[in-house]
This record gives sequence, C-alpha cells and structure tokens, in this order.
Amino acid sequence: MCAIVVLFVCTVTPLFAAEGSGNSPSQYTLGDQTMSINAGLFIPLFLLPTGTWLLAGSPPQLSLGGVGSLSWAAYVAPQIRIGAEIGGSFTFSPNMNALLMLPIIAKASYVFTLYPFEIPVTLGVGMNIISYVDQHYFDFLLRPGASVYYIFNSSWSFGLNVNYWIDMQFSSKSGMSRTGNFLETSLSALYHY
Amino acid sequence: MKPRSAFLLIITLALIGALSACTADGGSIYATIETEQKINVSTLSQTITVLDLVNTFSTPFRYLVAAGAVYKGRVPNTDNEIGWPTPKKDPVAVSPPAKGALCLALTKFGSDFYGAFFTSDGSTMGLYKSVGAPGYSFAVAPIADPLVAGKQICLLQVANNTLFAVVATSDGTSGFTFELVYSTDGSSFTATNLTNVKDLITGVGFFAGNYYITAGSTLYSDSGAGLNSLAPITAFSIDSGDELRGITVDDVAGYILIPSSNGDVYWSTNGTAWPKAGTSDEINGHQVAFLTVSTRVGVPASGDVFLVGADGAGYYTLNTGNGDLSRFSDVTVTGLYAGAVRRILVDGSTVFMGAAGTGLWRATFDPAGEVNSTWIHE
Repeated sequence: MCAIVVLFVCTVTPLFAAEGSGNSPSQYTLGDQTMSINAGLFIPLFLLPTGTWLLAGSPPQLSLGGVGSLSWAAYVAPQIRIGAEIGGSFTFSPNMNALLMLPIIAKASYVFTLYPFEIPVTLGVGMNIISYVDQHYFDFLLRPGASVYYIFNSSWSFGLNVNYWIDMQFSSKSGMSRTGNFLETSLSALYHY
Repeated sequence: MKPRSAFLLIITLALIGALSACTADGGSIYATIETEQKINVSTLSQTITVLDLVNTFSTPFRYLVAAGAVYKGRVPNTDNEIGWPTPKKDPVAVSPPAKGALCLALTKFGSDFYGAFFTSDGSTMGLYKSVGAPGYSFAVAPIADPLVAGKQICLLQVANNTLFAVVATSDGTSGFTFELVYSTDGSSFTATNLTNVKDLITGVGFFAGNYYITAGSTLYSDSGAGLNSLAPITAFSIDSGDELRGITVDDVAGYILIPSSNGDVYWSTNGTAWPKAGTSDEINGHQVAFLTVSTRVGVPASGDVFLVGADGAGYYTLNTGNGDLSRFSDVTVTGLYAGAVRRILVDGSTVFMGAAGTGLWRATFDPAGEVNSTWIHE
C-alpha cells in the first residue's frame, strides 16, 4: 500500500507540470539545481491510532523540539523541481527521554514565482528512522508543505518552510499502530547553481 | 547530476522508505509515549549508587539507605513523600564515624544498626554500630574485635539472629581473599571455617535449620553442624562459568532464593530440591546477570511472585508457580528500565529498588505482584 502511495505521487507530478499558471516566468531551466539548509522548530501535534480520524487522537505528550535538514533538488521543468532531503529532529517525552527522527525523503515541488518571492509547494515521501530509548524503527513519512522565499539574488533565496509530518508507524501488534502528526516551521537558506 | 538520474534516485529512495516502513514490526514507540507517565522526583540524588537498604521497622524513620552517605527516610506522608529526612528539603546524611567516611554495607541487628565504613581517601575503617535514639549516628568508636577492627568489610547480613560480616583481605598481589565471621552479640566475632576464600562471599542465609552461604559458583551449607562445618553442597550444581550472587530468605513465604550471573534464579522451599528459572535475554551482547532477589511481593493464583534485580536490565518478575520470568517493560522509566538493580526492599505493598548509579526507586505493587502506581525516583 505504501508503494502505491509513492507511485501515485510520482504519477501526479507531471500533471502539476502540465497545468501551468499565471505566476511570473521562472528564471530557472532544466538542469538547474538547488541546495538548501533549514533549521527551526518541531511541533508535536497529536498521535492517531492508524485508521482513525482526527478527533480520536491523543495528546502527543511530547515537548516542543528542534529540526534541521539539508536538501538538494534539480529542476525538471521551469517551475518544477525534484530532489531529496535528509534531516533530523528531536523532542522530549514527559520524562525527558528524547524522541529522535532521521527522515530521508524524496520530494517534488511546484514553484510559484511572484517576484521577488518564490513559493514552492512540496510533497515529500520517504522513510523516517525513529529512535526512542532502546526502540528503533523505520516509519513511512508523508510530508506536504510550503515555503516562502525572498529572492535575494540569482544565487540565494531566504525564507520560511512550513511542513506537516505524517509519520506512519505500522505495528504487527494489534492496536499499536500509530500515525504521528507534527508541524515543522523552519528558516531556510536556498542556493541556486 | 542529470535530472533523469536524480529522478531515478528519488524514486528509489521513496520506494525504500515506503517498503521498509511497511515491513517494520513492533512499531510501538508512539503507543509507548502515549501512555508514558511522568516520574515523580524526590530529593535524593538521582545518580547515587545504592549499596544497602534497611527497614528499621520503626517511626519516624522507617528506612535507611546506604549510598556512600547513609540517609534516613520517613514513612510516606499523605502526599506520598518520604523525605530524607524532611520532605522537599535537601537530604541530610546520618553522621558518619569520621568526616567524609563512606558506608559500604549496612544492616540492622537487634535494635542497632551496623555499618562498614572507609574513609574518603579509600582507607578501611572497619565496623561501626549506630548510637542514640532512635539510633541514627555512627559517630562512635568502631567495634574493637580484631576480626573486624580496621578491616575491609564488603557484606553485612543477619541470619538466625546472628550478624555475619564478610572481611576482604589483600592477598599481596592484585586480588583479595575473603573470610566469613559472625557475632551473636554484635561486639565479639568468631571466624567460620570459610577463610582465605578466593571467591567473593556474596550471601548468607538461614533456612530450614541450616546456614547457606554463596561464594563464586559454590553454595555452602553447614548441614546443621554449625558455622565451623560449612561445606559445598555437591548436589547443587550450576552451569560452568555461572556465579551465585547472594541469598534471600523469606521466612514468611518459606523460600530461599539465589540469583546468578547467568540470568538464573534458584529457589527452594525445603532445602533439598532446587528448581530454577532463567532468561536468555542479552544486554549489549552480554547475557543478563541477576544481582539480587526480593522477598515475596505478590501471591497471585498462579504462584508466589518475587522481583529479581538485573544488571543493566532493571528488574524481572519471577513467578515460582509457573517458572515465568519476565522483564519490567516500561522503557519510559529509563533509569530503572536500563539500571543495575542491586538491592530490593519490600515493605508491605511498597517496594524500593536501589540501583547502581541511577538512584533509588519506589512504587507500590498490588497483591498479584504487579506495579500499581507510578514510579517515584527518590
């Protein structure tokens, strides 16, 4: 099922590209690449038993945390870039045990350009290596988000990311599967080359 | 990197992520956090190493904890606080026999308390008896008997109204030899026939009319012939390399229990048959070693329940009725879950666990031997 989600994302990406929009023409072309560094706050929202709806969620019992990441992407069309990201986040339980996450995701962005701003709308999919006390798992991570960048010059842009983490933790034990919901707000420096 | 290559890389990454997530088992981290209860923290240092726990069976100071310094704890108040000795205040140690002296072993014998001390620079000081009502100062002269005076005493235990001390003596090289001595009045000591023992003597007990002593892989007994006739019980055999780590006698429940370094617990209700239960759990690639066993903590329909302190694995629950031995599983109580529990004191439904380097823990247990409160990190 998870693989189906990935294939779906890959399938709809060209549809985004075909739609076009009324925003400003992009100054980037096929083959241009970007690197970005991001750091900010990691906000636990709620935990859902997998397959249930929002109101069935539990308080996360997790503190405000931190997040950081490095991201690379390449333009496959003037307004579409695809790439990969590796990052890390931390947050703490009531007994100050650290919940650590190491997401490795593939992502695709559609970039609206409203000069001097660019607004990438992004969907990331991948795995999240998660560690808590002596437990370690690979989760499936779905991460939609958006950013607003100020185009400083042709090489550098600076902005803010808001990403929603949907971290699916499947368990073979009955009733133990959960989906963690988190919000990332981070500052970003983006380099075009 | 060309966009086509990048696209393939990304698809690969996404598929790896999705498929690995789909095949993960367990996956209970969020469920664990969801139910995590905050540990109440008291005033003792959370990093002390507990060397001995003593129930005074009196008020207002019900408990003594030897952890270098000796602390006296009150009966829990209505807020379930103990206080060492005053709730919400910094702990105040019982006066040692000399400034900075550290207590290595502690026990109650008669109405007095006996402690083995050494100085802060490592010199041995011998054995001291507490003085003053209700008996919480060791600031007096040491026990003068030459068998213990100025000696390094590494274990104090009471069995059959007799005070036992294990005396360690340097063998002149890098090791020690050990000697078991005893006293019936607390002042004059007599040597047993266990002298110059190469293995650390780890436990003494009196059960079904016989004395039992553990040292290394050997279980000794006097077979009713007295403390000068201690001899190995040849019928009691353990695995090669296994070592016995102490003796607990529960006179009320009618058990003698012995933990071992190979993750086994041996017990007997008659001194003849020695069933055992064991675990093959490993911590960091090493077999879990057991350090101590409690007296009985619960009596479910399936049998008698005891708690077993483990090195680096918190504690296990032993049911002698069905031989079940299961590890404490609440990973959120980190200092206990991964701690080395050296001493366990059961006082009614209240259970204390003294760990090496991760402090003293307290909880209440129900009649079935299950924890029924949050843990308090004293």
